[in-house]
Amino acid sequence: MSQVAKKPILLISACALLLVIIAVVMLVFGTVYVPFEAVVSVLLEKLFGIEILDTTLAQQIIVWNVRWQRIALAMIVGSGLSVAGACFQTIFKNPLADPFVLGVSSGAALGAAVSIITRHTELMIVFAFAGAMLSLVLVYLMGQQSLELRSDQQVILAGIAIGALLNALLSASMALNSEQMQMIVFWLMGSLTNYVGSLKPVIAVVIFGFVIAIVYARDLDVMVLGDEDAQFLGVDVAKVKLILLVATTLVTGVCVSVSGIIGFIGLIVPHIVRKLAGPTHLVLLPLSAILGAVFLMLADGLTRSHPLLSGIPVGVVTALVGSPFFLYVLYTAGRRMP
Amino acid sequence: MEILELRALDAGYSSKLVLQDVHLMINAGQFVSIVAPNGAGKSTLLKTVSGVLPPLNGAIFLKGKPLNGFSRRETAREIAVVGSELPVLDYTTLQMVTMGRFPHICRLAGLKTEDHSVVQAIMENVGIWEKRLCQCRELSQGERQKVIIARALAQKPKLLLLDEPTAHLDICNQFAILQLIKNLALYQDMAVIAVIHDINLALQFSTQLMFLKNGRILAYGKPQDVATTEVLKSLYGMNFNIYSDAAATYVRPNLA
Repeated sequence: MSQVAKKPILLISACALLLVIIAVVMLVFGTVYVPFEAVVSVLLEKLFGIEILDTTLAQQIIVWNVRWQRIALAMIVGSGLSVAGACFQTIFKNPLADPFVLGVSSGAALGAAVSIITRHTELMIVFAFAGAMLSLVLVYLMGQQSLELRSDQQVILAGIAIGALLNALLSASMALNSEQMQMIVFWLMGSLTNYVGSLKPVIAVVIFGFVIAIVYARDLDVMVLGDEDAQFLGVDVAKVKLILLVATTLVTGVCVSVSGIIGFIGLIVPHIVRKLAGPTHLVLLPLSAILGAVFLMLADGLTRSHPLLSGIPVGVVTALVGSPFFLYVLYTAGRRMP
Repeated sequence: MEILELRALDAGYSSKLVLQDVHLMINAGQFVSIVAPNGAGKSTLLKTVSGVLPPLNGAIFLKGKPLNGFSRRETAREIAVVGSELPVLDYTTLQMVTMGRFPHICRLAGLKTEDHSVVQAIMENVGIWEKRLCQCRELSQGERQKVIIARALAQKPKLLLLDEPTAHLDICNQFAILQLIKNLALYQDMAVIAVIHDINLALQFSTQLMFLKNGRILAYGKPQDVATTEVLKSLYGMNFNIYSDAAATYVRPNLA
């Protein structure tokens, strides 16, 4: 047992503190200089209604409407995808499972593509979400036929098949509308700049998914032992799987529809946390949420740090930075995959 | 006290009937060993009795009430199962045994003092409390088997089902584990059903012996009554010699 794993509350608090510090630092740095005091003042005023300093309207717009909107979106999407990934890996007992394993990303991408092709880009989020929900319904129909009797591989394969079908429709629609292809491709690579709407519904859905996952954290601990042992220990495996699949797919669908397909976070963040803190989900899930937020915020910060990098989609950065770090963790830490 | 009753039980899968017309009545304190050739339906019987596999026909009564009226959680408070696989996981021994309290704890409240003391008492009883902070993967197979048994006991079951509990163990650990289970059955008002391949171990430790052949009960009763040359010949198609001394009855194939 590693030293860190003995003090989970300490570890979670330390990471939460890290998150706050990085968020504030990210708010300070940017192409326009805003003093640190002004950043904190704007933040406190907008979040809690506490006014400390007089800030200019320009400062308020830069800090709140531009930087905070993007940073907050990075945090929510990073958390949502990481928590969904952690749940999927346990549900399917497969270290390769990620939030997109059941074809949600393809559904959302198809929806987004349809909105671009039909020139309703202002409704892109709605279309993407509808596409994600289409795959959720298909997942639910698969899941309804008692997940406990079907092997996990079968559900994953069915998810891959649904994903392939939706992808084929996406490719066909792109081939038939070549003038809009570039816009669709860019959306597919994932970006935090597309979404300008209210963050509240996104936050609500991600928190809802997180709370559901925490409620079933002990069930997930037991399910790591295998479906049969979990049933012997009193877990209603089919029911818990279905509830968690619907909740996490909903979270993934919302994240994908506001930010495109940002890969790798849902796969690697939970694995890194497992190495750090062990397999107990009451620790794993909160830590995944926090470190997922940190990771995506940093990746997005990198694209904002220099004008030359600003054209690179954040999804590309997560893979570029994430893969080497993941390999480093994989081969240096002592713990194994679940 | 009556723990389990099987009435005219048919079990198996929709495509394949494995067990037919099984009748059984088990009381607290009894240690029933199931001895049978491979493929005779032992594991199907354990799965059906534990409520994971619904019976095809007939009825199962747990403490006098139909088993299908129990939820998974309620079932797990009465029946614990020790499978034949020993999992290799990142959990510590203590975390692993604590999972046995899952059916008793409220989801949001978490573990109570009582749960911690139950776990500690059982781990001390089984002899693995000193290893509580070890990872399960670091333990020997004998110790891992004890962890799984401790986890099952932490459920505080009235019926303990074991699928080949001695399969991975050396002879010392085989005896230690079976003696432990027998004592638990006797002193904790629990009934035990164990699938055991080694017929001599079954003869020595069980209060009741069940021979299964082709999905039916071939013989059931006190070990020395049912382990006859005729029954064994019918079961395995081989001749056996039966020896008895003051300590035990034992059998071995007559290869002559």
